[in-house]
Parts: sequence; C-alpha cells; structure tokens
Amino acid sequence: MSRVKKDDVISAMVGILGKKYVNGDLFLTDNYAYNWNADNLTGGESKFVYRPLCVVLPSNTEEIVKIVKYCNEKGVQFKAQSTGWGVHNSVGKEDGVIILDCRRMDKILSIDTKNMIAVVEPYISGAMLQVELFKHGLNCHIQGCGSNGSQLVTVTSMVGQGWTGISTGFSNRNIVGAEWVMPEGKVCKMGSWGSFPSAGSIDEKIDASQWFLADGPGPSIRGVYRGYFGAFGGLGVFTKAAIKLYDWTGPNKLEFQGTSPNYATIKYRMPKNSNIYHIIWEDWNDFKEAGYLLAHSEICWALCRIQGFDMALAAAPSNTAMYTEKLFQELASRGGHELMVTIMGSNKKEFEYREKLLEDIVQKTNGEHNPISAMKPLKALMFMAIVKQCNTMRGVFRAGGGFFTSLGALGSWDWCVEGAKIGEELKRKFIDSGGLVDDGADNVWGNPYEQGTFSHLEELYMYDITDPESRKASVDYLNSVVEASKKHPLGLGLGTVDGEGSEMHNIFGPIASNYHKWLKAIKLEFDPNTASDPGFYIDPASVKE
Amino acid sequence: MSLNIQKLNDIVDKDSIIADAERLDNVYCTPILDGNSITPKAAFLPKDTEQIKSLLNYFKTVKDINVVVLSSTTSPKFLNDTTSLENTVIIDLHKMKDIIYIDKRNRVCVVEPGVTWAELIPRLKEQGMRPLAPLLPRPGKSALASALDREPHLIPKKQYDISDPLLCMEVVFGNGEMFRTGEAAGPQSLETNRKFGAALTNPIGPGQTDIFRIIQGAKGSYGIVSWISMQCDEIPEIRIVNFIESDIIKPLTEFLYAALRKRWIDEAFIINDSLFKAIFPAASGAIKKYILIYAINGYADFFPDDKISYQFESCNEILENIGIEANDSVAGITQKDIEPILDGNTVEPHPKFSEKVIAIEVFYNTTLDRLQEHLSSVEEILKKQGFPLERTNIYLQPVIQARSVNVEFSLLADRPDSGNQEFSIEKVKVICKEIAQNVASKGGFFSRSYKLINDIAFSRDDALTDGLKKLKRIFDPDNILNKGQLIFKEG
Amino acid sequence: MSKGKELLKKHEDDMWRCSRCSLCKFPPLAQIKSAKFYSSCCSIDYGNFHPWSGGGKLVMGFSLLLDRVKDISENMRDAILQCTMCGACDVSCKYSTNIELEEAIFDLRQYMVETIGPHPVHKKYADAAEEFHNPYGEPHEKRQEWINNTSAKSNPEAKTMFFTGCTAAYRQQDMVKASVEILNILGFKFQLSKDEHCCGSPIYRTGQVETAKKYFNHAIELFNDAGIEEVITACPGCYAMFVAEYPKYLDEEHLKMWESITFVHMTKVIEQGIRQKKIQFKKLEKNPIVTYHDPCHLGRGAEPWVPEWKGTKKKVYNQITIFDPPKEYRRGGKGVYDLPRFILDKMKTALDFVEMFRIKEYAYCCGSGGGVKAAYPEMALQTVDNRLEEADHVLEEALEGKNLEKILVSACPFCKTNFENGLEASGRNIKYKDINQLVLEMMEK
Repeated sequence: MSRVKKDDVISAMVGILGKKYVNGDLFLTDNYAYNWNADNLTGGESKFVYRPLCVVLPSNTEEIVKIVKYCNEKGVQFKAQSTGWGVHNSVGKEDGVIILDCRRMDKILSIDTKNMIAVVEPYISGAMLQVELFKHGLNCHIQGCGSNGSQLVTVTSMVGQGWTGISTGFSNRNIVGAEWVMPEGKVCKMGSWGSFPSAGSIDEKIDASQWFLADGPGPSIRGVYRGYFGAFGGLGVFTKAAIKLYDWTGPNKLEFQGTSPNYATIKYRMPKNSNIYHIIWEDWNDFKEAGYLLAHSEICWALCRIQGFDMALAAAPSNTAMYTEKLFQELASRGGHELMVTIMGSNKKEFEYREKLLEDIVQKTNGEHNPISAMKPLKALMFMAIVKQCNTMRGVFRAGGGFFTSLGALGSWDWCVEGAKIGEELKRKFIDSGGLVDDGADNVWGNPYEQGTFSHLEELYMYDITDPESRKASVDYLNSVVEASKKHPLGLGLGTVDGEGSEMHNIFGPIASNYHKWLKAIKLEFDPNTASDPGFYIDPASVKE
Repeated sequence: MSLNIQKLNDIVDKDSIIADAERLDNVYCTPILDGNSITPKAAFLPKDTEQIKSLLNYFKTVKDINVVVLSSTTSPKFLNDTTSLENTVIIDLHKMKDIIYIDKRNRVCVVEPGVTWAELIPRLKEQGMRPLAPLLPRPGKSALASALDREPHLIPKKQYDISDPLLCMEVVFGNGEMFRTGEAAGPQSLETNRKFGAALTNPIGPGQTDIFRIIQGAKGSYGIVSWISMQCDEIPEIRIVNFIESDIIKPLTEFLYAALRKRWIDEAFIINDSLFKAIFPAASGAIKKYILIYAINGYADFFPDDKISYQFESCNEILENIGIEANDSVAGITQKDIEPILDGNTVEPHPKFSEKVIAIEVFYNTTLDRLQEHLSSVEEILKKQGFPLERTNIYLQPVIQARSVNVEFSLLADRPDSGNQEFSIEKVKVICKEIAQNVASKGGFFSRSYKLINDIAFSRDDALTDGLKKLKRIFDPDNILNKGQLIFKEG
Repeated sequence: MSKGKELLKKHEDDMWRCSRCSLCKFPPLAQIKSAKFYSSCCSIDYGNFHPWSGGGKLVMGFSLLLDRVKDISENMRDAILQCTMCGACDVSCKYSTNIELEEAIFDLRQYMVETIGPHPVHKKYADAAEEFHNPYGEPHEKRQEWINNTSAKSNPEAKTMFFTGCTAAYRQQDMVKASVEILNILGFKFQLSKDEHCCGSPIYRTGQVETAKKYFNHAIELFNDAGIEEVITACPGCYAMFVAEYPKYLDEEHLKMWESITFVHMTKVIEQGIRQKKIQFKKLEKNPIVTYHDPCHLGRGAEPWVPEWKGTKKKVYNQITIFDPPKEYRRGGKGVYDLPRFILDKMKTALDFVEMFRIKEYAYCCGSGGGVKAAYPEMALQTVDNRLEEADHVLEEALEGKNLEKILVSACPFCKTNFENGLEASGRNIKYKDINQLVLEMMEK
C-alpha cells in the first residue's frame, strides 16, 4: 500500500487533470478490475482481479510526466493502458495503483508516405490507422487479436503476432522511434527524432520523417523494455510511437457490402491482382516444407495457419449456424494442416508469377486446395477478415466465451511445427476429458515472419467460460503447459511467462539463462521506486535468485 | 594495477597470454589513427566462453583495470579499437574461430568472434549461401564484430530491423555471468533444441528482455560476445545488375523509394564517382557524380527467370516515370565485375586504406529525401576547407527497407608515413568533425557510436544517456569493460 | 433474490462472456472508415471511462449482481444513464459474439430504477405524462393544435391511423404537417385520434418500464377500438416502440391485437408514392449537397421484435452451446435504411448525396435519446456536435470547394430537435431538414 491516502491521491490527480478526468469511485475501479483472462489468474473463480486506486485520463505527455513524478514522490504506483484489452492491463495489487487510461490520446500525429512511417498516440488502433493509410497506398502490421488493438501498444508493450507477418513483420521489429516517459518521469526521445532541434518542444508539430530510426547512439534502448511480450505497462508509459508502414496494392478505399453479421467485399470480389487460397497438407512434413518454400519465395502478402474449425467459427454468424449449416461443418471437419495464403500483386505480371509459383509449391509439397474455401462468399469474407483483422472475436471468443492461447514461442518453422505436435497432445487430454472445446486438438495459429526469418505457432484453445468445470479445465491446461515448457523444447511461449509475474519468472528464469535476474536488475535500475506497477512485469521483491 | 599472472595462467594457457610490450605495441596499438594510444598491459586470447568468464571474474577483482575486447587483430585498426587509457588489458578473441554450424534451410550461420569474412564467405559458398555482409568488408574483420557494430548490409528489402543480420548471441557480461539471448536462452539446451529443429533464428527475448539490442552497438562496454547466429542468404541462381548514373541524387532516391517499396530490387546502394573508381580502377571514361547499383536476383526453386523478368520490367516502368535510364555497365564496369562484391567480397587495395592514405569516416543515418541537403552542405564544407572531392568517398546504403539511409563519408587522409602531410590525419579529423556537427544540426542521427561523434551523439537526450549508464551499472557493475568507449570514461 | 437482481442474473452468462475487447466502442471493425470518426458510442465519448461503454455497463451489472458494488451512487447512476440507449454497442458486439448487450444495459437501467428510483428529471416527465399524456407537460387538448391551418383531416372510416407522437405534436409541428401533406397528396385516408397519448418511449427508455406499460396498452386499445389495420407515423421513437418493444410486454390479448396491425413509417409511404409515380422530383441547376443521418429508432432500434427464444440448449464440441431451434438474433441490420436512401437517390435531379462514415446499423447517435436530452443536456449537445462535425466533414469534402448549400437530412423529430440545437450552438453552415419537408420542397407539384 502507498504511504498516501486515496483522497490525497485523487486530489493531486484532480490538480493535474481536472475533476472530469479523475475517478476513484468503487463502481469504476471495480469495472477496471474486470478483464479477459482474469479467470485463468484466479483459478477459474472470477473475472475480476485487483481494483486500481483510481483511474485517470491524461491527454498529453506533460500530464503523464506530472503523474509519474507524483507517484515516485509519494510511493503510489501507476500503470498505463490504451484499449485495455486483456488482464495484463489490470493492476497487480489492490488499491495502490493509478490506471492511466490513455483513451484521450487518440491522434495520428503524422504520416510520412515516402519513408513509410507513422507516428501515433496510444489510442490509435490498427483499424483507425489502416483506413487512413489505405488512402496513400499503405498499410500497417495489425496484431492477430484484432484491429481494435492499439498500434502503439503492440510495438512497445505487448507481443504482436499477425496474419500478415510474412510481409509486415513482427510488432517488436516494427518500431522506429518512440517517446517514452520512463518510470522516474524522465522523457526519453528514443531514436533519430531526438536529433532534431525541435524534438520535444512545446510548439512542435510532429513530423514522422524525423522518426526513422529508434536505435542508438550505440546500444539500443529498445533492449530495455521489449522482448517477446513487452513490459505490459511495468516500465513507464509510451506516449508516442513511430511505426513502420508497408506498401498496399489493394484499393485506396476498401468497402464492404451487407449488414451485420454478413459483411464481405463488394459483390464478393477480390481486389485486382489478388487472391486468397486455403491449402491443406495431410502430412506435417509436407506442411513444414511448404512453409519454408512459401516463406522464402516472397510471394505471400499474408500467410497463416488457421484451422478449419476456427475458420468455420469466424465465418458463421452464430455457433448454432456453425454446427448446423453444411458449409461451415464441411469447413470445420476437413482436418489437416492448412495455410491461408493471400497473394497480392502490384501488377498483373507480379500476380501471375506469384500464383504460378504458389501452384508449383502446392504441387511439390502434396498440398491440396480446399474447394470449399474457393467459394466466392467465403473467400470474400476471409479476405476481409485478414485485411481488417475483424473476425478474430468470432473465430475464437464466441465459441464458449472463454479463449486463451498457449505455447507459440518464436523460432524456426521446423521447431514451431514440432512444438505444435506437443501442443496437440497436451490439449487432447483436456478435450478427451470434456473440459475444453473439441477443436480437433491441433489448433495452432501462426506463421513464418519476414519471409522466413523466424516463425511462431501458438496453440489456441477455447472453453465455456460460464461453466466452472470448463474454466477449471482451462486453468489445468495452462498449468500443464507450464510443466511441458519446463520439460520439452518449447521455448518461453504464451501462457507461461507472458507477463504473468514473478512466480513464472522464478520457474523459468533459472532454466533460461537466468533472464529473471537481469529483468529484475533492469526493473530496479530504471524504476528504483517501483512506481510502475510490476504486476505483469517483474516485482524485484519476489524474485528468487 | 597489478595482475596475478599465476592466476591468469590457470585460466588460459601460457601461449594465450601476451605480456611483451613490443609485441603488444605492434599488434594492438595503432598510432596512425590515434596519437594518444597507450600500449596495453597484457593481452589474453581465450579459446572458449568458460575462459572468457573466468577472465572477467578475475578482472573484476582488479582495481582500475580497463578491459578491451577485440575480435580480430588485422591492421590497421579503424574505429579506435585501441585505447588511450592506462591499465588496459586486451581480451583478444581471434583464436575463437569456430563456424559452429551453417543451416541452409533456415538461412542462418553461427560463428565465433574470430571468424573473419575471408573465412566465412567460402564456407557459406560451399553450401550455396552467402552472408548478408556490408560493402567491401575487410577480409580480416570479424563477421561477428560487423554484426555487433550494426554495419548495414547491401539488401535493404531483407532488413526488417536495424539489428539485422544479428540474431541470437551468447555473451559474458562484465560481471562474469554468461547469458544467451533470443531462443538460445532456452529452456532446454542448445543441443536439445537443435534436435527439435531450432536454428537460433529468433533474436527476441527471452521473455520480456531484448538484451541483444543492448549488447549490439555497445562496443564491448557491457559484455563480451562469444558467438552469434546471423542471417544469411542463398546465392541467387541468376541475377541482373544495373547501374544508374546521375549528377544529382534525387532521381536515384526516387527510384529507390519506388523500387524498394515494392521490393523489386535486392542489393541496392549508391556510391560516388571517387569510390567507384577506387573499387574499380579499370573504370575508364567519364562517370557521373553518383552511381546507383542495384540487383534483381532470381533464386532456384522460385522460377528465377520469371521473377527477374517481371521485376526488371517493373523497374523499367519506374525509371521511365522518373525519366532516367539504367544501364548494364558504367565506364566499362559490368555485372561480372560487381557480382563478387554483392556476395560479400572485397577488393585490394581497399578504398579505405592503402600505403599512402587512410580513411577518416563520418557515418550516420538520415532519410533518402534529405540526402541532397546533406550532400550539398558537406560539399560546401569540403570546398571551404580545400579538401578535394576526389579524396572523398561517399557510400549511401538504404536500410530497413528504405526507411532511412546510412550515409558514409570517408575522407582519405595522408598516412603519417606517406611523406605527404597536406591532408594530415589531424587536419582531416577537424574537417570530419565539422561535417559531423553540420549533419547533426540537420537531424543526422548517429545510430552507431564512435569517438569522433560521441560528444555530439550522447549530448542530445539526458534520459537516454542516463539509461545507458543504468545499463552499465547492471551489466558491468565494476566498470571494467572498455572505459573510454561510449560515455563510460570514469570508474 | 429481488426482482431487480433477477433482471441482472438473467445476463450472468453474458457477463462472464464479455472479453473487454472494446468493440462496443467502435463500429464493427470492417466498417471503421475514419481515424477521426471512429467511435460508435456517444456514452463513452462523453464519460470517457470504461464503465460508460456498453461492455462497461455489462460489467457494472456484474459488479452489482455479485455484490462487489452494493449501492448505486449518484455517479454510478450517471454512468448508467449517460447513455442514449442507441444500440450501437449491441450491433458491434453482436457482429462477433452473441451477447445480448442492449438487453443487459436496459435491464441495468430497470434495476437502477427499482433500487434508487428514476432520475428526478425522468420522473418529472413520467409524472407529466401521467397527467397530460405527454412528457412535455403540455395540455393534452393542445395535442392536435398542429392540425389547424393544414389540409389534415381525420377520416373516421379509415382503417389507417396517423400517429403523431408527442415530440412532433408539441415541438416539431412543421415536420408532421409536411408528413400529413404528403399523405394527402398521395390520397391517403387516415384517422387522427384525439385520444392519442404518448407511446411510452421516453418513460420506457429511462427504465420506468412498469409505468410505461400503461401507455402500451392504451395505444393498442386505441388502435383496436378504432378498427385500425395500419398505423403510419413520422416518428421513429413511436415506430420503434410499436415494432420492437411493445410485443415484449403485451399480454396475450393485446398481443393478438398488435399482430393484426401493420406499422409503417413515413419513409415507406414516400417510397411507395415514388414507385407509383405519384411523387416526382424537380430538376435543379445548383444541386445542394446532402447527407443523411440514420435515426437510431428508425435504424437498428426498429429492427422488428423477435419472440423470446424457446427451445433446448445443448453443448456440442464439448463446450459450445447451441440452440435448437436456432435462436434469432436482432443485430440491427433489419432496420429502415434503404427507404430513405431510395428516396434521396430518386432526388438526384435536385440534390447530390454523400454518405457519412458511420451509417446504417453502425450510425452514430444524435445524442438525444434515452433520457439524455432532458437529464444531461451537455452530453446531448456534445454528441450532436460530433455528428455535425462528421456531416460537415463529408459535405465539405464532397463539395470540393464549390459554394453550394449543405443539408443534413434525417427522419426523426427528436433528432431534429437536437440537430437544430446543435447547429445553433455551433454556428455551422448546414441546414437541417426532415425528410418529409425535403420531399415536399423537392417535389414537382
């Protein structure tokens, strides 16, 4: 607990932000204690974790600096969030942490179309940024959970796998600059932006062309706060981020017909020189070969393993429809190891080359096109889902209301596939016992990144969140993942050390280069007053060395 | 400072310790570049990580010591590898020469510090591979050191992050503890993971750390790297190389913007006429001021002819839109001449040094569309200082898929032993400093640190500098590593 | 368990299911068309904190159900009521899930009323309606004053009744006059009843359901007693009540009566008139540029009622619950969207049309519904300003520098009031016209 009374904290926050933007009422703090995946952290018991002391809504860096300095001075903790999705946005202890809800920081500050960089504030989501970028023939990497997620958060603080990773990279590597309010309140003008005389001045008009490189001088400060997962708000606040953009050969305005829940591209058409394919391999080895060839061939705009079961869920307007309608059932039950491949060409020749090569690879590796997925409406829907990242919720959350993921550490494609086999076996036990949704057990999602530099395949799973037994199965499954990750070469994946605090670090640190020791040291040095909530990062006091 | 040689003999064998002052001077001091260079007290040549650990664990008990790490010992030493501090010992890794493995399937190789470009390139070639190497890497330079220095490579479209081609590493921190980054960290041993198909291709992590980014660019002031994995590329089956000449930079940058955005070109860089002639002494005839060299590669398994054909045609459309032409040769130099360079080979004599001259460099990053402004103002400085353009080599390397460009000015100074001191090293350093200050005022960003610009680079952001000092306290709490580099002079 | 708590308990499964994804704050992701006009929730746009969002309200209900929060403070009440009940969150959520979000929010409102009573302002107009049969507290006798000096004439033999609605009758008479003139031009015969009372919408939507039921029964009896087979109205508030809300609460007898009546909004009447070539439009030389605002109660709020699902739930794939027979979800797509657009399209000789970013089932609310206009006028004004800014943005963009009239069109008297207030407050150079008035103006006479 902080040394300061709650009323004093609220009063101080009101002094910085004004009454309208500060709230410590119980109904509100309880609201911010609720989140996705809280049940897995509470042994399946509750969707609520800890309540913050209060929630505040800053609008700019200066306000955040004042808040951070106050917290350091008074022994209160703070934690920032943008859209706040996921229990990692919640606080690590009851009544001692101020949540900085960055909803008011919702501007695209600058887009440099030539150098393909955008500078954004925390509340800019993938959907918001993308729609502006399309006008310039550009696009951005969007994390797989959906385009409702924050672009800034994904590059600075939270994982960031995505369907288009084959061409748009991985979020950790999509940042080229940032403004970082460090845990003690200093403002780091990370990268090239800080070289310009105007950087950080009061009347500065942000110019994305100044934010072209985040690293240096000398060592890169990016090394401090990221990793696979990011610090989950445990190491200060990022207030601006410069994001790499990518060429987009699709239309400047991508419109959709229909009404909810049946949106799809107009007349089910794909944009010119584009197509999407759903290809299945029966054999894991063929699947591996295909993955490598497709990655190295550089022909894919998007390349992702998505299981037919999830596709059926994503395509169907309801769970009942998914189960009872023939089309969705065929999709769900096809089985096999599949990849969704999206090819887009800048011109006809490029597209034709890519299609020809795709067919060659499919033939060589004994793949088979799924005829169901070649149906225009389904293709149109899948294309929309991949470009807009808008059907993830349907695909995995709607089934039972309970969804989480596991494994999926980054590594070579071969290694990821071997990990997928282990994941399948692990999960099968919990499916056979009835606790988890029977998705066929092999439900890995993921892809090679950056034309094959590294890959990931995470084992998705679903459960009925309204059913205590099913919730328990989820908890037990995740515990089994932790045990398996100790025993098998599975790396440090999701569901293990993804910001779940010191307990996990104490388990995995000693068997992974004692990284926890260095993480603790970084935390102690950069946040000597532990002002940044360590709950989903690392609490130095809890680390066993 | 006194060293316990007995103790050190227990760590490394006698042949791996150099204590003779003359030998130390010859091998490790380069008075050419740095007049303040002081002869180190000793040099140690460990052969593996355990020895590095033991050395550092000992050194951290020695008062006032300064430990400098070198990966190779070929002369001349550029970039101030030597030191001007007393009580310096060298950890020389050039004996660690293992190419641990080459994995064609995953396009990665794992190398120890002592592996030079001259050693690595042919070994990769045996497997149809080539490194993602910088332009004209010195044959005796450590490939690992290049990667740690963030030297840019020639294929911007394959560079998603400025850290590329570096992937995983094993490092011994200043406090003597060993750490592995990325997927090398585990869990499970490297061997177990390898059997499972792992190839050390993921540099990120472990967990919520990215320590490799802290070590890279730190010039050995946080830790000593004992091996790395790095990205490689397949040798293309066929290739087209084109040249575009121009007296102004803009048409070339416009082409780069367009072609790299679409990822239609592979190797791509710009050099000036002086550098072109230095690389290709056989070049005859007039050459324009700047030459853009780019390649389109076709790889086996991927219909190389078709790929090259449509990309070549698409690039031609870009050229037409800009109103410029590409040619298959410049001044008699053709694809045949340039291809070895594209695959990581160098030339003799090296443009940066000869019997008479030695290059003093200014390198930094900016964006392609700022180049004209930078080039013009540097030209003005050179003119004002009376420094000939013919002695100025300019190399412009787009990085991170053209989001910025690494700019390198190499001014050729007269070697002290050349008999000519019209452009002495000291004089040229002054000019370079002025260039550095000038480009800095225009937002030029010194991503890589080096002595000439450290005062400029590290003065721009207190928070950042403070952060680097915090990292020093974490990884080298006894402050034994490479004092004088970066900003860590004091103990 | 108290009745109020039962209202919350009904939604317990959905309270577990919410994943706090924030989709309720945005249009369905595929339909986000602007980085500036990205929000679909005027509630959180005003309140800013998460509880103001649809998902936040669901969680508030959960907190109350679990007694994590025992009392509803004044601030909590405001968080519940600073919501126009526009249903946008429900549409967005239901694109991806099958959570009955709007129902849960509405039941939370009812719970609040049951626990601490309605907001004093809301109570005030419920009391007024009790006395004067309209929430404005205007004399009932003046309800039909608008008929004076019009061609409107009640035909007691007609099987059609024109239902004026309180806002049209007392506050937006020019709009209803225009509607009736159109009906006359088209040759409609209709009744105008002196016994018309409030449809109950303002009382109902503020959570005072028990009080509101009186108005439902009255309306149905009114229609039945008058032998009405068809009810036409220009007010989406009333229309939505008739088609989407009434059936939930009518007893068997009244439900039978309800089922025998066809409810029609004026846009349908105009559409038919156009198809029958009874309405044709002028050709203008200088066409104004027009955009259309989808009223919530004509759009997603007017999606017809579906009976409460009855059947068996079963689990498949171990843990996925399905419904037998399949449950029909109201997702907002079946509201009245095409009719006004058809009308505006037919006017293309007289005007140019451009869509806003947030339209149809994901349109942004004008800010006046759900009791907000009365109890939280600042919120109503902020919301309408957001919408006006969007309208202005698209109109200006479409104009491409030309100096032509900018018009915002809608089809609801409540929206009209708020838009007019918003235009006055902002000084924006946009004219607001109700669609009936626009049709009359642009018609070839």
